[in-house]
Amino acid sequence: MSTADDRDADADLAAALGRAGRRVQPTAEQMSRWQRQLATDLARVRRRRRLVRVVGFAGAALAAVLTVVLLRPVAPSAPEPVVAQVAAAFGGAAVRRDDGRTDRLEVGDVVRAGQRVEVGRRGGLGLTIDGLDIRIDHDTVLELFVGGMALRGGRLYVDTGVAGGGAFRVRTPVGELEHTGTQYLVGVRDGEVLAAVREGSIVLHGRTGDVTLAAGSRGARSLVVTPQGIVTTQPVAGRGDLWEWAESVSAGLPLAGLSADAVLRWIARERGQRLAYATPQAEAAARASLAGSNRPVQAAQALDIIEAATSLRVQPGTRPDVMTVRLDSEADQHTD
Amino acid sequence: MQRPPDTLQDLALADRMLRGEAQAMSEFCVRFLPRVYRFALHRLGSPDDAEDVVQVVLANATRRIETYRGESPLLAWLLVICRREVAGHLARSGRQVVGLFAPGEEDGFDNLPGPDTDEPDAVGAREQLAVLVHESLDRLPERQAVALELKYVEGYSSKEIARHIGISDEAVQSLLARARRTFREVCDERILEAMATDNGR
Repeated sequence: MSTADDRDADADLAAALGRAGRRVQPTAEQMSRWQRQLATDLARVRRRRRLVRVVGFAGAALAAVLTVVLLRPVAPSAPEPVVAQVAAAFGGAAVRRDDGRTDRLEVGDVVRAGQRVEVGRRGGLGLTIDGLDIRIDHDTVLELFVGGMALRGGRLYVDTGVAGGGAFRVRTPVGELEHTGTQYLVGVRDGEVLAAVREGSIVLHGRTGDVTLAAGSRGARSLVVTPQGIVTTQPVAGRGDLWEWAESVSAGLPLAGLSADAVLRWIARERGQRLAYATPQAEAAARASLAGSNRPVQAAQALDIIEAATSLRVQPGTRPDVMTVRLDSEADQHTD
Repeated sequence: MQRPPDTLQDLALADRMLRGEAQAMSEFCVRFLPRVYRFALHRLGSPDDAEDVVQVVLANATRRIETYRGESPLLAWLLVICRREVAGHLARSGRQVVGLFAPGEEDGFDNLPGPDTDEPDAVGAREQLAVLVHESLDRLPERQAVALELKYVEGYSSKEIARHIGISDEAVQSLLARARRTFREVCDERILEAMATDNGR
């Protein structure tokens, strides 16, 4: 049983709490978004741990093999491991050989660790590296290594895909970038680094510490690091000039056998947008399969094919981050 | 090293998350993210900035979750990451970080600036006191904090609290008594002073 003093003290506490009101709570949408991000990030961590375990087991076997191999007469040195395959090549893109000459890169070619890739003034290059979609802009020079690349100058775009892709690092003059399930780009010019992320997050391990950049509810964010190490971050648009060049370097998508819905989702992702259907009827219509060819097409062409082959139409909406799809008959009724 | 039971539970939660258990991830989000969000919001003053910080804290925490050894509670561990990110955010936006990040206590919270009694703006002082109260509630086990809010903010009766939380009326009485005691132990001295001043009026 409480004393009078206790009751007075409780009254003070009650008054203080009553005046303070309820604590601010994040919204259900925020919590849902964070939970999705957590699941994606943890899936990537688990993939990395599995890889480490596999490498650990393989290491023991390798030690035994090496013992035998080292006792054998020395054989000619093996080539460096293949780290990338060319998925798209436009204009001048080449790999520079040890003798200084260049070999032009074509779709299907492989690139090995240690090789220097140069994309010319009118070039563009798409690489597939460990499940990642890497697109390289014109006037870009980089060197590949196992697990990443060193960006000497120019710009590249990385899409880890919905599944998250493998680990991948980009070395820049101001530090090394790694990602967590993301769409991002990074550019180097005169020692200054610009990075922008529109999905997921990236971490720059700089000389003075780590900086994490994450796309939030308000969209993409950019990070600029000067050669002196000064860091600034700010929101940026998730579409527009900064990103559109990457669409033109895409390896494209072969449409044969895919549903319109699958293609539209791919197009939306290419454009940094979320797909939404205006009506259930439009969504149902999108389940139909397309009779395209196996030749990959880029997003703009894929959209033309869908609009020619179906009654689906993409309408400009009020939100730049959403691609709204309606039926042709519905489109006439809407004025955006 | 002997770890307190709370951190053993936190270690188990981290292990379950690393194994991919959806329920563990949900529990982590519900238990910790609102507190991390409020911690950032109280120091940055902007809900948008606080959300950005939470996103970054989540990314950093996930990358480092394998290194969590249970030497401190998981909330304290998260708040260390959050504090660093808030400081960086303030520095990048050219705002001063003065006296906000004194060495952290075991629970991970640090000192917030409190109401300036010389400040003629009574509304501002009340708001700052409210922030101190909320921060003190966040130091309590969540069930105790919720019980106090339902009782003294929402005006619930003990029976209503019991129905809301899913325990007996007797258990609510005991929970409220413990919550009041814990609140006084952890709350900022400035709250106690303000309560004493009110009592003297």
